[in-house]
Amino acid sequence: MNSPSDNVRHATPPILLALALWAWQADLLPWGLAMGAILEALRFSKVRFVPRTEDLNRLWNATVLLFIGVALYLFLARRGLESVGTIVTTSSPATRLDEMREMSQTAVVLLRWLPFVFYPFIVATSVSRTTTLPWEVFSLRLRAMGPEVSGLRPPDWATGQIHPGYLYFALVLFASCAGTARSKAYLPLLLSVLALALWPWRSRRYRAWSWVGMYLCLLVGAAVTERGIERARQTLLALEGRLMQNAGQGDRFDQLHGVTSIGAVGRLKESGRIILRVRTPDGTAPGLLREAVFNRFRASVWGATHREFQTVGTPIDGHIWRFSRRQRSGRFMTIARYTAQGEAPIALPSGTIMITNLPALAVETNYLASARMHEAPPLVVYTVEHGPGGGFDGPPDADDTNLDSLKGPDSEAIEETAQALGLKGQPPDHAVAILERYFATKFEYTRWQDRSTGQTNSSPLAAFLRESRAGHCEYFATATVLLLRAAGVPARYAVGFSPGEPRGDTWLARARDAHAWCLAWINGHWQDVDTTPGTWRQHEAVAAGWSEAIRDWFSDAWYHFALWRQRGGNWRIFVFAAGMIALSWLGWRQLRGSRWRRAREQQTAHPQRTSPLPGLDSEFFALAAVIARNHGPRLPHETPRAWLRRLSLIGTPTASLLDEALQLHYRLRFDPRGLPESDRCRLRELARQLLGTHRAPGFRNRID
Amino acid sequence: MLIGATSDPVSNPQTEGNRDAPKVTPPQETYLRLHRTICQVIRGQDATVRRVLAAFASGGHVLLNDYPGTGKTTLAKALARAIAAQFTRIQFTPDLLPSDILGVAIFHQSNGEFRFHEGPVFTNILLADEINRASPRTQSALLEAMAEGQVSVEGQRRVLPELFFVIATQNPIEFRGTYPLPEAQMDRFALQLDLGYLPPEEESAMLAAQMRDHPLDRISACTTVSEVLALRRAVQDVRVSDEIRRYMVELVAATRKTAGVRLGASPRASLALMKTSQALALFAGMECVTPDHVQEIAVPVLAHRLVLDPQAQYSGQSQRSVVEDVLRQVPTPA
Repeated sequence: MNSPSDNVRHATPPILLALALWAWQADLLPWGLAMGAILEALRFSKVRFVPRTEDLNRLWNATVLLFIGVALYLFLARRGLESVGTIVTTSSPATRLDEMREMSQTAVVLLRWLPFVFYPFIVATSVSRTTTLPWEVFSLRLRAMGPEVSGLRPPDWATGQIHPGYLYFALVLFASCAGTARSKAYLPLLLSVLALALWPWRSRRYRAWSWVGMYLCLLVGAAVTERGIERARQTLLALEGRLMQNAGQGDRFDQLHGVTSIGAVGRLKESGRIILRVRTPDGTAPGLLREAVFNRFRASVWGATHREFQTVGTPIDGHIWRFSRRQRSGRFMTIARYTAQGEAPIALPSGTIMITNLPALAVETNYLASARMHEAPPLVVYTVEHGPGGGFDGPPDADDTNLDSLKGPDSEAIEETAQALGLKGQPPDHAVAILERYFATKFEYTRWQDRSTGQTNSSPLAAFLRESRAGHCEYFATATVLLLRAAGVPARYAVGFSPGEPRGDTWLARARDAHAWCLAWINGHWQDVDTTPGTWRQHEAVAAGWSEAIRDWFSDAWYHFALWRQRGGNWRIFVFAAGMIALSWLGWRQLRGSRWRRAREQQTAHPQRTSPLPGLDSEFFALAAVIARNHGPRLPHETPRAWLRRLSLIGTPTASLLDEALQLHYRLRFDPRGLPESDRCRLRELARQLLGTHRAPGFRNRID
Repeated sequence: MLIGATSDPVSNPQTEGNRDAPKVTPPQETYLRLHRTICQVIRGQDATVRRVLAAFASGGHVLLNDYPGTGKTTLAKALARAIAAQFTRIQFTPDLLPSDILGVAIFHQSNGEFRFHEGPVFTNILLADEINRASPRTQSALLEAMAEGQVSVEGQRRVLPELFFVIATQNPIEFRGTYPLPEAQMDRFALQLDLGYLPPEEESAMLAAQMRDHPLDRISACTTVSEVLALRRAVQDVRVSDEIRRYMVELVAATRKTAGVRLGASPRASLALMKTSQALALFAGMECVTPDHVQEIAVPVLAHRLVLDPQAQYSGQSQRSVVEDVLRQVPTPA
C-alpha cells in the first residue's frame, strides 16, 4: 500500500478528460482533445529541464500578462468602453440591459478561453523537472516578502508548494462551466472527472466501494440540488412578481373582453387601492386615462372586433414610442403603475403623441388604440405627451356603428330612446349634446342595483333606460355608445381611470376611480364623451373607509421603495463614480499602507533608530569620541563605565571629573525625567575641561 | 567574569555614596547599614552581599548555590540578625513534609476544635537550608508562598507577613539523596548566587576574626522591618527609561533564541531583572537605572532559569556562559 505522500507526489489529474469536457462545452472539441493529448504525451517524454526560480517567476508573469492582454482584447474587440459608457449614461433600461448582457458575455468568453491562456504555462511546467511550484511563483506579494514569511501561511500550505497540474485542472473545469452546450449530462460528467482526479488522494482507510457509494450519493445530491436551485429561482421570481402585483393591480386586465357589471345586482364594490399615480407638470387634472377600447356589445360584455395586437416598432433611442406624426404639443403627464408579471395595459390620455421612458421591452397596440406593455419591470414610470390631434385610434369602420349584436330588449330600448330623443339624422355634435343633457337631467348615479324586474322581455340596460334611470358609469357609457350609434355616429366604449384625487402634484387613481366612457367620432377625430353624472365621484368617495389613510401610507412607502429599487437615470452614474472613488481610495490606502507598514516593521527591527532617544545630544559623546580615538573604541556590548574601566582611565588624575561627567551623562540618557539645566551646564563644563585634557599632546603617554 | 569585579567603584557603596551623592537618602542609609553589618560577618563577599540585598530590597528571593562551608547559611543568618525581624530556619531533609513548612491543624480536645498551628513559613525571613534535599513535593510547598506571599492550607488562604524573604541554600556537588529544584521553583528565585572560596588573605583574616567567637554572635539588629519596607518602596520609585527596559527585554529575549538553550528566561525573569537593577541603582545613590546595573545583575538573575540541551552541556556550555554570551551580543545603550 502506498503512503499518501507517495500518491500525492505521483498523482496527476486527468487533464485530458477535463480538457475534453471543457472543449465539448465550449464547442472546441478538436482543440481540447489536441491540447489534452499533448499534455498527456509530455508525461512520457524524456525531455526535462530544471528551471530556476527566476525562470518560473518570469513564466508566470508572462502568463498573467497574456491573460490581461486577452482580457483587454476581448473587452475592446467587443463593445468595450462604449458599452460601459452606455451602461452608465443611458436612461433606457432596455439598452442598459442589452449592454449588461454584452458585458457579461465578454466575461463568459474570457472564461471560456482561460484554458488557452494558461496552456503555455502548463506545457512549460510539464516539461520541467519540478512537479510542484512554490506559492511565491504565483504571488508578487509573497515574492516580495521573501522566504521568511513562509511561517505566515496557513498550516496546510506549510510545504509552500502547489501542483500546477491540479491548478490548471481546476481552471479548465471552471472554464467548462462557462460553456454553451447546456446538457443534462454535464453535471454528472463534471463530477466524474473530479472524482477521477481525487481518486488517488482518497483515504485508504475506507474500501473502494464505499467511495464509489459516496460518489453516487453525491451524484444524486447534485442532481437534486440543481433541480432545487432552478425551482427556488423560479419561486423567487414568482414571489417578487406576486409581491409587486399585490401592491398594484390585482389580476390581469383583459383588453379584449370588457366584462361589465351591467346586470349585476347589489352594491358595486371597488377598493381604494391606488392603481395609478399621475403627475402633470402644471398640476391640472389629467382627465380620462383609457386602458382599453371596445367596439362590440353583446350580453353585458364589451368586446373588440379588431383583436390583433401589433408590436410597435423599435423605440427611438430605446425608450421613446411615437404613435402620432402630429407636431409635438409639449403637454406631458407622467404615469406610474405596477405591472403584473411584466405585463400591463398602458393607461393613456386621448390624443397620445408619444410615450417616453417606458422601460418595457415591447409595446403593443391594436386598431382600437388599446395599448399594452410586455417584459416590463414590476413598476413602470412613463411619460406621455399628448395633445389635440394626437392619438392612434383606427378610423371608424362598420363595427363602430353596428347595433346588430344587440338582443331583443336592449335593441328595443335603444331604438325607443333614440326615437324619443330624435337622435336620428342629427349631426354628431348635436347628438352628443342631446345625450349629455338627457343623461344629466333625467338620470342619476348609483352604485346600487335592485333585483331586476321580473319581466322576461327586459334586460338590465333596458331597465336602466326605461325604468330605474339610475346606474353606474358602465350603464351610462354603454347607453351613450349605443344611442350614438343609433344616431349614426360612430362610437366606441372606453374603460380606464379618471384620477380625481390630487395629492401634492400627483393625482391618484384608485381602483374605485375606474371609469367607463364613450368615444365618439366627431369632426374627423375621436372625442371622449362622458355622460356619467358628475356626482359619481362623491358617491365613490363615500366608499373610502377610515383605514384608507393607513393603506395609502403603506402603498406610498412601497411605491417609493420600488421606485428606488429600479430607478433609471442618473443615480447609476453616482454609484459608478462613488465606486470609482472608493476603489481609488482603497488603492491609495493600499499603497500608503504598505509603505507605512514597511516603516513600522523597520521600527520594530531597529527600535533605536526611529524613536527619538533622550540625551543623544550629550556632550559626553564628543568626549567619548576623543577617548576612543586615543585609547581604542568602546565595544558594542560595553557600557561606558565598563569601557572606561577597561581603559583604566578611572584611576587617572582626571578620573573623578570623568566619573562625574559619566554620571551626569547617565542621568541625561537614562533618567526619564532628564537632567536639570544646572546639571546640564555642569556636564558641558566638565566635557570642555576633559576635552582639553584629553586632546593635549602627550596625555596618552602620561597615562600609559 | 565579564563585569562586576569587586573592585568596581559602582559596587563600592561607601566611596560612591561619599563622592556622588553627598546627601544619603534614608533608604540608602538603611542599605548601607545592612551592608556594613553583614560584611562584618561575611568577609570578602561585598559584591555578593550587595546582590543579596538587591534581591531583598526588590522583594525577590535568593538561592545560594555553593559548596559546603562557604558561608551560605552564615550569610542568611547574618541578614536575619541584622534586621529586627522574625527569622525561621527549615532544615530540608528527604522526609520533610509540606505541613512541616506550612503548618497543620491540630484537634484540641479541650474545646473540641481544630486549630491551625502556623508553620515556619509564617515569618519575615525564612532560611530554607539545603533546599534540594527535600522531595519536590515539599519544595513545591514554597511555590505559592514565594510567588504570592500567601499560603493555602486546608482550603484556607493565609497571608504571610508583608516582609517575607526566602533565602535558600543548596549544595551543587552532592547528588546522592538530593532532588534538583524543578524549573518552576527555580524561576521563583530572583537571584541565584555563588559565594565561592575566599582569597587566601581574606580567609586568614576570617580565621583571625573567629578565634574566640563567631562574629555572628556579635552583631545586633541595625534596622527595623518598617525601614526595610520603606527601602522596598524606594526601590520601586527608581526610574527606568524606555531604552533600558528595551535593553532588558532584548537580553531576556536573546536567551530564548540562543542555540543550545531548551528553556529561555521567562517574563518573570525580565521583571526580576528590572527590579533588582532598580535596587542596585538605589544602592548606588542614583535615581535611574543605567546599563551598568543591568549588566551587573544579569547573570545572577537569568542564568539559573535557563535549561540547556544536554548536547550543549556536554560541549562545555553553562547557563552562566550563555548569559555572558548574550550580554556580549546585545548592543548596550550608551
